[in-house]
Amino acid sequence: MNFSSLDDAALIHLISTTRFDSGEQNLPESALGELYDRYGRLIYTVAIHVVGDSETAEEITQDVFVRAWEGAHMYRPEMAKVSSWLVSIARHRSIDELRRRGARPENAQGIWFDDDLNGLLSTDGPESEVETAIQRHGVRRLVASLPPDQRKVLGLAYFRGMSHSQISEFLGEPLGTVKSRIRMAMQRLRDELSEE
Amino acid sequence: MNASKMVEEHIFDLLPGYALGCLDEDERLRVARHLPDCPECRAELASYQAVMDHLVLASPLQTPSAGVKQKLLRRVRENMPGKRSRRGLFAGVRLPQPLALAALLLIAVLAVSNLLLWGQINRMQERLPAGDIRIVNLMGTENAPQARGYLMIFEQETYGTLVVENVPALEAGYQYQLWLIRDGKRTSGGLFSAGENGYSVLQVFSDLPLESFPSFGVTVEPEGGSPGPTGQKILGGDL
Repeated sequence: MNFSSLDDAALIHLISTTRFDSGEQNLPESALGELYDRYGRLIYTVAIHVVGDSETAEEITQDVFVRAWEGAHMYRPEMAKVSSWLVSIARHRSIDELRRRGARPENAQGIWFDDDLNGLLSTDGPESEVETAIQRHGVRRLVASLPPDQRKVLGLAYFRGMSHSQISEFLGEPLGTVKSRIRMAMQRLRDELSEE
Repeated sequence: MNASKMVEEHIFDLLPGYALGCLDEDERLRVARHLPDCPECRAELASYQAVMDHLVLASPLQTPSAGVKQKLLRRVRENMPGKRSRRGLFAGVRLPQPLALAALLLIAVLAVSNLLLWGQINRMQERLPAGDIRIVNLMGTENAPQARGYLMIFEQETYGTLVVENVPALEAGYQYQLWLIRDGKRTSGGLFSAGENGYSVLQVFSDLPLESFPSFGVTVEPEGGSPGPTGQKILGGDL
């Protein structure tokens, strides 16, 4: 079956409605494969950025899509986009893995792949990939434009799942300062992204 | 308008941290309690959740190895109905005749009760209301900060669905118990065990409409449950 005409929500719905139909055993599996083709790289990117090693990130990637497979019947399009739903699962699963290891970041440097935030835009490839690349480049430039102290706390919250108090303790900064920096960073990103 | 709502008009300053999931528990609960009654704050929160959708784009896209997709599909294929090994869990096991007969009788009893339960669920599903569905978000406590859950409540109905994820695996002899909290009194909403990856679903039944309970909690209890909470609280949330 050609799934290219199905949007993401329809693909999830197809998985949820055919998963237990013994007469359609290849269909839900193929639909999951399509979902992986669309978002496997994105989910892997989230995972490896949080946990740092490819083997664990690949296991987490599988876990995320298995979770989507098992929870497809509970997905509600009005609550979030499919990509947001998958990324949220990936982020929580990855942060849980960090917590299970008891891992603490040695420092906050490089948490945004700082060296690459202002990298060159690559426009090779199909149009859809070019559009995504442009969007990705724009977001990275925007994050790079944040003051370093805001970028640092935002990265610790987003990629390490640290709370305000944990970040305050880790950096040795006052709690109120950490809260303000995160709030200002998110406000700035929201305002800039809404203008695009 | 009551006094508490007049004091706390909006909580805009807390919403960026709430969207990021980095609020400390007291502030997180404060936001969770406030949101159902404040469309302005819900709209503001949605704008920050849109930022979350973009943050992942700040990472350079990376590619997993080619075998990941095949491993994934093999995992789901091995667990699909009708495709499990024919040998099964009890293959090759031989029981003495009295035990075999007892096992068959037990299976028959379980099958009948299962049919009755599915019938009850189907009858309930037939009368699923077209009214509002409310979602109560349950957040992990310090005992299980990674745990998450939500309780789906149907307007004026005495049943709902609890979904949890990332709850820790428990030692043998323990289960999780849901508590429906009202006027300081805790009523059991049911028992469940942590499934694979800490994921579990529980159908919740109550004598009163679930929306009449302002708060909900999940604690660790001895297997079979307790009359009241005795163990660690791992999830909590307010309607």
